[in-house]
Amino acid sequence: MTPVAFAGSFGWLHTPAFGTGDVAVLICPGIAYDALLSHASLRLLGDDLAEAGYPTLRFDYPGTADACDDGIEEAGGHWNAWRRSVDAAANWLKATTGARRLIVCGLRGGGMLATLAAAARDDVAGLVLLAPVLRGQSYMRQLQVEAQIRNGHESVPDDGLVYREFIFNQETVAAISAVDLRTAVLKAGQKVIVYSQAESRLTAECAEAWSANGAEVMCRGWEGMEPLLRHHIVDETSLADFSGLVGWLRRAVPQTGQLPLAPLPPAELRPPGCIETPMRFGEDDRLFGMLCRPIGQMSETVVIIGNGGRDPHYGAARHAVAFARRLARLGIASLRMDFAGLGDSLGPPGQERFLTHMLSLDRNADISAAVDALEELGFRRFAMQGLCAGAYHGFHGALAEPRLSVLLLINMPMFTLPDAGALEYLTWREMSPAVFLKKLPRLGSWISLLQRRRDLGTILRVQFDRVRAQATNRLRGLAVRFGLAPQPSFAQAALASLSARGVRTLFLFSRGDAELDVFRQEFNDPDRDLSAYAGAAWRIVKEIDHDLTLVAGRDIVEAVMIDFIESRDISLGKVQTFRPKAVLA
Amino acid sequence: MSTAGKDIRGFILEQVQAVARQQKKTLAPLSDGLPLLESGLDSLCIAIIVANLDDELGLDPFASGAVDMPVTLGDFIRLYEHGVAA
Repeated sequence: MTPVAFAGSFGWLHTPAFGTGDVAVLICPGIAYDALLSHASLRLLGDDLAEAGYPTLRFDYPGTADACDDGIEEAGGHWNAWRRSVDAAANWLKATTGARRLIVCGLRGGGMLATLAAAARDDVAGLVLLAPVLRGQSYMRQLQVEAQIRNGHESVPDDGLVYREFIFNQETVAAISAVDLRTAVLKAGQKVIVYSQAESRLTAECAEAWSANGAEVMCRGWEGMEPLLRHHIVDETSLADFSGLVGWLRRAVPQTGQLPLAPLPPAELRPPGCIETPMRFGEDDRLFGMLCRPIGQMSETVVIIGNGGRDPHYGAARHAVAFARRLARLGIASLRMDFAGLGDSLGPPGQERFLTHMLSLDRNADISAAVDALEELGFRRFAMQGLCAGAYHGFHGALAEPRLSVLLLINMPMFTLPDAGALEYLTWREMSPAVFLKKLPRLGSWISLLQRRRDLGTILRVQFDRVRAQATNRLRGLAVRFGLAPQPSFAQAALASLSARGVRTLFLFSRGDAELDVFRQEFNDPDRDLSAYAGAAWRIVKEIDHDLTLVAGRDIVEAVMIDFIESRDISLGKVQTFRPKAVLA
Repeated sequence: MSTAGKDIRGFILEQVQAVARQQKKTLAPLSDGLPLLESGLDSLCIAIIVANLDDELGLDPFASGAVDMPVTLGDFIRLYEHGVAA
């Protein structure tokens, strides 16, 4: 697959070994959370289609993932800009590959865009819909309700909608709400396949309406497609299985002709104040990252932004993109990267069809490969930013990689992998032993345990680990009080080692997150305890949520991180003492 | 209470279980007093259920824009049942 850029969008062109052909596939990704969950599986879909002989383009709509934001205002809002971008991508794909017919494939909200494109264009031979949104009105309601629960206040439809990274204007809300795919007029002879998570009245009505116009419609279940939309937070999981889809496409719209593909120009995006270029690095160039550089004067410092959880490199609600571009406007470059087997980076050899484990897989080699690649480009100081699991890997990466000198760690979930297993630990950690004992007498809890819905052994093991950690740290505190020199914990020894090496470490937490409890188990009175570690600092930023999806909170946390980086960034002539300018809790 | 021959309570409970299965969420034992956000469903699951109920039953009690998010599962079901009765 080759990175490409056109009309402010970033994308990937997956090409068959022989070059290109008469039929090409355009993938319209999902929107927001749907896009995060499906990113790696859609990469695999691109690879599978290319292997089957179909050149395939994945791309980002304006204001999503790595794309630029321009075009949204000019189009009068997100929806119009996205519709135009699908057209632009289709035209670019045809012009670049020489294909004359297109297959448009859309996931969830991208299914709406794909269907509208198939109805409007005369070059679409086939349409593949993956759990498509069929009615814009209920989709907008879904987004509004989710925003209301997450943001804690009602988003009034008439005033638009604030949802994760998006601020939809009134026109966009109205335009999406007005879409009803039952009224889409597909062309006679168009081949359509719809994969649905469950049988539904709407799907049947769409199929009936499209068939009435002469389209050839097939409906399929969701078997094998589950990984596209399933939120597996931790464990290694296989990506979606597209063998059925590829088989259908081969039969429905066979590839014809074999054409050579002309060399593609290097991909480059120019968001305001920045230049963004994709980078392949690591062994056999299996790793991917987006390098974001300032247009003008540039510091020797570069910030490596790792995956938050298993979200792709652009981050939940695009927090990594926002941070990278803000850094660039201040003269600091960054690389937002995918660890092996996440986003657009390939997994270890033989594991390419898996989303790798969030925590268990050692990421130190990936981080060092990024530092190597950036050092070759001339950068001399290396900072690492990580959110959640990314913070865990950043902390461990810095212990192994001596060139990292600044750590920006947000909501770090743990210092070491728990004995009970990461998934169980993350699931049950928020329940304190006291709360657990209080809940046990409830009949429902017993029924649930007896029905094996919850594994009693695992819950007890997590509680035991928690009590043990608390007891160990209390003993350590007592030993200090009585003038004894206790054995430091892993976290304390590790932070001491980083500090001795001159690494500056900033721990940031959202309010009330379980991560803060873990941190306090190691550094009970953080202001006092961290003073023993030169360069270490911590803050609670009450305005952020766990994965930085709230824009207002994100602004603050970015400001705090930038202050922390700049305090030692001599090449930019900044002061050397950390004095946060942002509003802090 | 029913719409187009469907039992609303039963349909909502079916949806809760179906969406939990899709999203691999472990549900707490369902009862009217169960707080929605302690049911094992997250904000996305609840929002998907709302959209599915709109698509399948044609019911959207949130359309008026003046509805507070129900706190318990019972509140949620009653919101839809009252929507049909109104």
